[in-house]
Amino acid sequence: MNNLDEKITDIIASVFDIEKSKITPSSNVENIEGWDSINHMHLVVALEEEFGIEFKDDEAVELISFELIRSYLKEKVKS
Amino acid sequence: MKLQTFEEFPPDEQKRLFVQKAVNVWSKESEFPYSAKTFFLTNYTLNGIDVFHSYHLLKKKISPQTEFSDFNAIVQTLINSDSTLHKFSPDFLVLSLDLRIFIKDFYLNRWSVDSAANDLLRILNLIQEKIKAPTIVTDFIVPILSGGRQKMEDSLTHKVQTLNHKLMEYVQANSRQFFLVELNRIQSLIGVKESLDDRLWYQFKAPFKSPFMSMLARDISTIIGAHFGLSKKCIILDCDNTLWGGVVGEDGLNGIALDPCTYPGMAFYEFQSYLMNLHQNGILLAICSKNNEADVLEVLEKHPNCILKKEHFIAIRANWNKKAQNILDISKNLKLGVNNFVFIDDSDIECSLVQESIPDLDIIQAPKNPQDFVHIWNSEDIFYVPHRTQEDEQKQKQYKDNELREQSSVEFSDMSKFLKSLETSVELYKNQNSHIERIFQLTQKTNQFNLRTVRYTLQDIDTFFRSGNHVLFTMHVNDRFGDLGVTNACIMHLQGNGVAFLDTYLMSCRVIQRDLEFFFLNHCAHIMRKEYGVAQILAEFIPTKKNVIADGFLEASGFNFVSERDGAKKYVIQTDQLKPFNKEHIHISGAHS
Repeated sequence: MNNLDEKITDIIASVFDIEKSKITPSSNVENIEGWDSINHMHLVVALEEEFGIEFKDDEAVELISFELIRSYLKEKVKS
Repeated sequence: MKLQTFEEFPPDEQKRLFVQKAVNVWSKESEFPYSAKTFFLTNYTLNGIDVFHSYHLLKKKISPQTEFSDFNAIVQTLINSDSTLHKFSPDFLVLSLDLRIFIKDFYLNRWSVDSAANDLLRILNLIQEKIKAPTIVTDFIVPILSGGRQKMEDSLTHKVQTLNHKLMEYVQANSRQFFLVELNRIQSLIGVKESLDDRLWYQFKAPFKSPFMSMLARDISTIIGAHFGLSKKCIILDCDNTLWGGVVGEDGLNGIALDPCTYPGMAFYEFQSYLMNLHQNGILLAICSKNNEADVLEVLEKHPNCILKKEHFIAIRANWNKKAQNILDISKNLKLGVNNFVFIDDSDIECSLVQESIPDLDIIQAPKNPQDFVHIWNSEDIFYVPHRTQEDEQKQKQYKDNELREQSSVEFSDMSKFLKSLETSVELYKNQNSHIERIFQLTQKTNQFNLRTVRYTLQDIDTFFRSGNHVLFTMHVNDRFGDLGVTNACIMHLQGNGVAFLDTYLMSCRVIQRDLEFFFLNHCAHIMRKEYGVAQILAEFIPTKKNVIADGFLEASGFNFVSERDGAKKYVIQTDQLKPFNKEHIHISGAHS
């Protein structure tokens, strides 16, 4: 697992208070308990604070799976 | 615990992930002495504060339970006896309203202050009627608009300020149940940029960023903590460079900085004003300082700009005992737990020493730079007193009586462990040319730890250096906090026939109570014996108003008392009777001769 994946895992695990081992690249809004609209907002804020970036409105609503988070982050952190 | 003054509001505590992780860990612990059920009644989205609220409560060992009202359903929630609020039956209620939602077309500015105030009062009265729990209300953030073209009383800014004023009046008139947290203060402290999140506001009606929510949660937790007796009741203060600038024992009554007009004295004058204010609000003040008591009392009684007088302090411990011992003593006499105290001291070492001995005590290190004293005021919420009753006033008197009645001594925790942790290292010098100037300075200005207090000119010291019958010792001290410079000086006068006289022996008060005085004298005596064939050292203690601390030092170093005349005591030691000195905590990094 690379650094980025590890960090994403850490953030998701903390925000939803679940064990890191239960998070995989296929984790998403459907299979993680507690991923409601409020926690989604907290997840977005945590990602922004930890990576020092900001998501646009339309990006923020799309961060609903591990894969999507990773792909948006790769784009943001690069630029 | 060492507290941070506001400037250093821990950056970690402003971040959601850090706080969330701490909460995830802490909330799995099972034992907490207190618990608090808090209900947030808001007309906007404040759910994001949950984790910060839990964090600041758990930090105070209060187990949190939290519930939020539905979006913008204040009155319904209060009236409906089946609502989440009444089912939850909270210990504390937080009421927070955003005017942009509370008032229709807020920015259009056609609304009337009176009718908005009436709506507000109706909610507050309804709370009084329906809920008995202590209620924390937030004020309204004053919009940052330029109102230049409007008549002042019509401006949005002025109208919001009027509402805030009415809210404050209500809280004051109903202070048994209502407590105020000022959002405007938080926004001023951390700045608009770190406070308001426009995107979350427009998308979720959630106006605040993490740093703002953390500060707000901290203020709320202070009020909740106060209900469990966790508020601060007493501030214990150091004197030199805390209540005034400079060292009174060295600089004298007229030499210390304390002045209403000019810096740096002004910073201390203002700090005293602030403390006086707290005193008038029922916070107890005490002094714990390494000083001669007479010097401290002289400042309190005679300094024209000293606002705080003897009668404002519940206890004054100006002596040479360990500070931790003095603090525990005060705690015992006042019958208050150490968690009701805050200790303020400028010295790294004293702060660490006290922290080591009393880990539960909150400590604020006074800033090195007097202009930074205002940051202590900004952490004021630690002195939050929810109720001020007649009992409190009586208590002040009781405390004072307790203090007068009891005399006690408290055992101290492991001193040698602490001394080791300082990582003191010394460099020893003999007849060091470049130290002549420093020896001159030390003989001129050292008042406290000085056996004979003979003042020498630079010329005198230079003459000793060249005389051939004087030996000049100096010691340079470092520790893990930094370089303390040349702090010790010793002048031995060779009198012939294997006899030397300890002409000057002094130490700067910044390194007092680390046993360095014993170590250094022992070292000097050994060198005299080994290198100069000295069999006997004569010594003398001449008492002054300032050097009480050095009285008894020669006995403690193994010297024998010979005679006393006009208060001056003469001593002698045979150098072959010198005992090896235990210097486990002192590392010798260099010896130069």
